[in-house]
Amino acid sequence: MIRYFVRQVIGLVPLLFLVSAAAFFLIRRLPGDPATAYLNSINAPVTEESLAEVRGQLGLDGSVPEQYGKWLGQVLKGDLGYSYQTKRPVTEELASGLRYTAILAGAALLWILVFSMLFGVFAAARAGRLVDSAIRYLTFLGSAMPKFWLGYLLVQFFSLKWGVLPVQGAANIKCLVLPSFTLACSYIATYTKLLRNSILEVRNQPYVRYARSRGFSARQTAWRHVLPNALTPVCTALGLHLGGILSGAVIVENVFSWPGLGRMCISAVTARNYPIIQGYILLMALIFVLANLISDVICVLLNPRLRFGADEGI
Amino acid sequence: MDREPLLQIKGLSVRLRSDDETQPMVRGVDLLVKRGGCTGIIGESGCGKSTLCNAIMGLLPAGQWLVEGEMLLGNEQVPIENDRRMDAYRGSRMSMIVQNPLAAFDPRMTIRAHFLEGCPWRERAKMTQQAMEQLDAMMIRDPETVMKSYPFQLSGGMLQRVMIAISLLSSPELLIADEPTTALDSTVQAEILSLLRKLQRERGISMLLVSHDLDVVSRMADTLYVMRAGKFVEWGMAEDVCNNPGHPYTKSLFQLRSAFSSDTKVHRIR
Repeated sequence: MIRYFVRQVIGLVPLLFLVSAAAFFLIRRLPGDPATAYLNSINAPVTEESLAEVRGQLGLDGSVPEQYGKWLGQVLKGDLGYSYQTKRPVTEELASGLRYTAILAGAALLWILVFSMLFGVFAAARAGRLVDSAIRYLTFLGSAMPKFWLGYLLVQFFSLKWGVLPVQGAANIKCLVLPSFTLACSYIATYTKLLRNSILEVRNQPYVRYARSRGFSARQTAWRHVLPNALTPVCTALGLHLGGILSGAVIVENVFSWPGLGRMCISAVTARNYPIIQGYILLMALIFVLANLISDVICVLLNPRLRFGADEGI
Repeated sequence: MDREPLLQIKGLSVRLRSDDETQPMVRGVDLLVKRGGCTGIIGESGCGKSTLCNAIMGLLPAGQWLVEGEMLLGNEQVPIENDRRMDAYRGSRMSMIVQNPLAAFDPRMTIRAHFLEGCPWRERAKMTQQAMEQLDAMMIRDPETVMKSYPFQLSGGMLQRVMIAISLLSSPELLIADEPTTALDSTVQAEILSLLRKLQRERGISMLLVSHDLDVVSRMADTLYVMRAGKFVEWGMAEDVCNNPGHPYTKSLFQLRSAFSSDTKVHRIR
């Protein structure tokens, strides 16, 4: 088991190298010149001399492989460079964005857990009845609805029409409600379906019937045997989706002006703020791999078979 | 040796509800298990044996199944038609051991957790002690390790012994064994059967043994019922039924057995 994790972490190194190279060279293929964008952003005149000067300042003189080598050397020392626009270190910028994105994703996770548990259990308990079909249509709707549109709809009703929740920003906890729910919506649909089907499958397992034959009521069996076993695939999928939830926040953050990573990345792309984009991509790669590792750990904790079969298995 | 009756079933029928009709699975059977005796039910797969067992245990949810008939346990009327009210009988007064022991244990739980399930905190130490003694009586060499193990770490035969131990822990009046040896290989089968026979002799357990395997049933049972398509076609003392089968279906069952055991003649199945 431990060997498996060590292998995963070691495997991370070449992956991050590849990602860093791809990020570095690909964004430089984008049309548009960062120096010009920078001068425009500070309302400075764009002349030959000022361009050359800014390129020197931003480290954009020299060939691209040269720049990459220099940047990589810094990255290995833990320095991701400075944002062209704010002049603050990229690590600082990313950390502040990550904090907001993590809050948003955490709140979304809460929505997902609460609603998919509720709907999933309810749909399974009433499988084939009206409630089940109603929940099924709701989940269809939830997974088919584009995030940005849902976001604007929610704003239209909750903020503009009824005025209960703020339109945008991140001033207080109320601001968190709409964006996190928007982010959670399609996942709620997925997990409701997953949990419902998983419960129905586990319910017919011989160990559930055997537990009943030992004298436990249907309700006791449901809590002790059906639900814990049915939750295993849900937890695994959640671990796998964790990276997606964090990176999927891009659209939601832009709709609600949430000062997270996604919004930072989009504005960095517009401004050709290379260090931020590179840092963002590296961070996301790291998050994805770590999320997968976390999901593996959850899997192992939930499934004793993996815990003991580790030597022959993985 | 006429013993008093323990389980009496009269006119039991079980139907599976589908959209607007019901499909009969067990069609009005009468069954008797004597105290301290072993009653065997034999029949091909799909004839309704397992459904009958589940109905007796009250394991058929009323939403899907329609159970009718009368059942007496001792002198007490048992509400066999209502699966919820059967919770009080299941496990405590009637226990069941099922086929395929590997699938019958919750894969997330250790054997100890299975023994302790539903046990109040104060009584856990006592219960663990009893469980160990019971495992010991099942001829399990190292009960401590078995208690700590997860189901997938144990063999089918071992799990079947554990299952018998669990079922006997509450000292039930009736033990229902639904194909207890079907998923096991033949040497383990023989071990489990001799264990069951020993337990029956020593503790006077009343047993309802259900199998498709004539060998298993004829070795264990004193009374034998032959089931086909949801009905008993023949019943009586096990020796009588074995030596002198009356119904053509029973005859063909025995013919098949002799065909397979002698290996010389092959009978055509009619």
